[in-house]
Amino acid sequence: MTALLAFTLSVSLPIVASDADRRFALGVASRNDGAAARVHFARAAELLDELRAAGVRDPRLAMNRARAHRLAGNLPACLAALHDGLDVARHDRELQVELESARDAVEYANADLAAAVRPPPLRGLGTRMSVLELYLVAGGLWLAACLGAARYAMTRVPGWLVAAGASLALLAILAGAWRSDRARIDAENARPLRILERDCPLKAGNGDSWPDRLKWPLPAGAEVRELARRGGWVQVELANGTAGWLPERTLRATP
Amino acid sequence: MSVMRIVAAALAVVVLAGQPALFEPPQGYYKARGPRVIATWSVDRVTLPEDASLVATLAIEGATNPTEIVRPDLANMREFADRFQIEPLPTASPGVFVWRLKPRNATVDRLPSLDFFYDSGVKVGNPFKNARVKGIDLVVTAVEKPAAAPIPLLAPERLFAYDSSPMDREPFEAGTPAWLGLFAFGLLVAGGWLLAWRRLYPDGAKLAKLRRNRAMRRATDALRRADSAAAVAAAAIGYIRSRCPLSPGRETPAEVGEALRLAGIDEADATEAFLRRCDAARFSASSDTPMSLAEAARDLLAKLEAAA
Repeated sequence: MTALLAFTLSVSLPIVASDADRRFALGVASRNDGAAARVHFARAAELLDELRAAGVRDPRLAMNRARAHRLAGNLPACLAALHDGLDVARHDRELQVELESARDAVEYANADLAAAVRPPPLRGLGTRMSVLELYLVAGGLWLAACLGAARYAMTRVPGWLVAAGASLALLAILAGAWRSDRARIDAENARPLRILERDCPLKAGNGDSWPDRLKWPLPAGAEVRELARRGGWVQVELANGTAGWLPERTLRATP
Repeated sequence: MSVMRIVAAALAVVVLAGQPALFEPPQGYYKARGPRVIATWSVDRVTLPEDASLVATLAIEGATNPTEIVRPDLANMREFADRFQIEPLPTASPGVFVWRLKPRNATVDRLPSLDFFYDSGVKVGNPFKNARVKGIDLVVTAVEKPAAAPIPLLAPERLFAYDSSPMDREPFEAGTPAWLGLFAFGLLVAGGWLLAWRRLYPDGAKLAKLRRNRAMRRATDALRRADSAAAVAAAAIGYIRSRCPLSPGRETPAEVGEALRLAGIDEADATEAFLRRCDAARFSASSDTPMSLAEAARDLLAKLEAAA
């Protein structure tokens, strides 16, 4: 059964990918007619979402999805696709730039609201270095330490021992930075990211009768962290630490 | 009580007897009079596009007072106002009224009928007769509106870039086996290198001994060929240089002696004394000959070699 499913996917995925390519190309070709182009981009985005749902994790797919959604006018879905891509390739510079660009496109009522809601750019060792790069650098340092020790065993020249120690120290610093980065990411993931799909006021409680927490409504595309759920409402926290409640139906889940 | 009613009824009959009946002018009476008035609609065309207009003419014939007839106010009649935009036009002759009618939409299919009452002048019964103007069927065709000019999709150019290469690049993930493999790889490479080195050079002591033996051999050969005090001294310093680091140019007896003392070699003083003998033989009258100095050098080198 699993083999049959795998075979079916292996046959159908290239077709879906090809159809998505064609739809995106049609959208680009008809960009002078925004309404027609958006229809093509929206269909391309649907097809690309199907590929992601089928298990394709290539960061380039995330970029294509994000662009298709954004050109189709669906900024929240664009942001979700970018976060999806960064979840598997946090170091991807293009995805990081695209995420900041999409965040720029969120229409905050004013600068104060943007400062309160907009998350800071991604940071940490993981945003600068891929797992493969880390693996290779760590491997190089470890190899240098081992070779330095071996050379010291051959020559008894203390300089080789110092070199081996320095390599080990660098390796320890690298491992510490990576571990700290992972711990921060795990702490963030403990509070799932949610993206607002349409403009909505942040309420002080889980109901429409509660007063607004902020003077202005949160715009579509605002990124919030989920704290709790109650009765169809989600308690969320903004980037500046302000907590409030939003209707569950207005929020889009991210990976 | 019933008697009172009967009396009142009889009184009413007596009072109203001989009076003409009262008839109010009905709605749709435009002050036309005549025994037989005929009113008709006419239009300049019955088929027109939605955005065009037609000219409708109401002609009244048979009226005795054509100049007194009032123009019907079509704009206040719902059946007309709902269908048309109405513009009264001036008329040249009495009893004829003209309007320009523009259909409000393509669903308009008829110029409605119009109740047109006139005073027939009869003395008996209702004098107001209805010369109802019969409506006319119309065909209003829809106009194809020109499509609105398309609005281009404005977005940064990079958003239109699309990567259509096969999406088969899975991100690398280093699991525990990969890290253990890396750890083992470093150890294996370093250990392998050390073993190979030891195989090539059985051990460091033997290597050093080999190096020293070669130096002794070279020094002995040099002493055999030495024909001056300077050559003897150079052969001795060449050997000493292989035993301990001597900076280039530091070859005076005092400098060599100091270097040997720093290296912890017991024969430092004897070496310094020997080199002074060589210098004395070179630069002053001395009883030492190159041969005697070479012999002394061999003794000194043997002591140094034994002390290694």
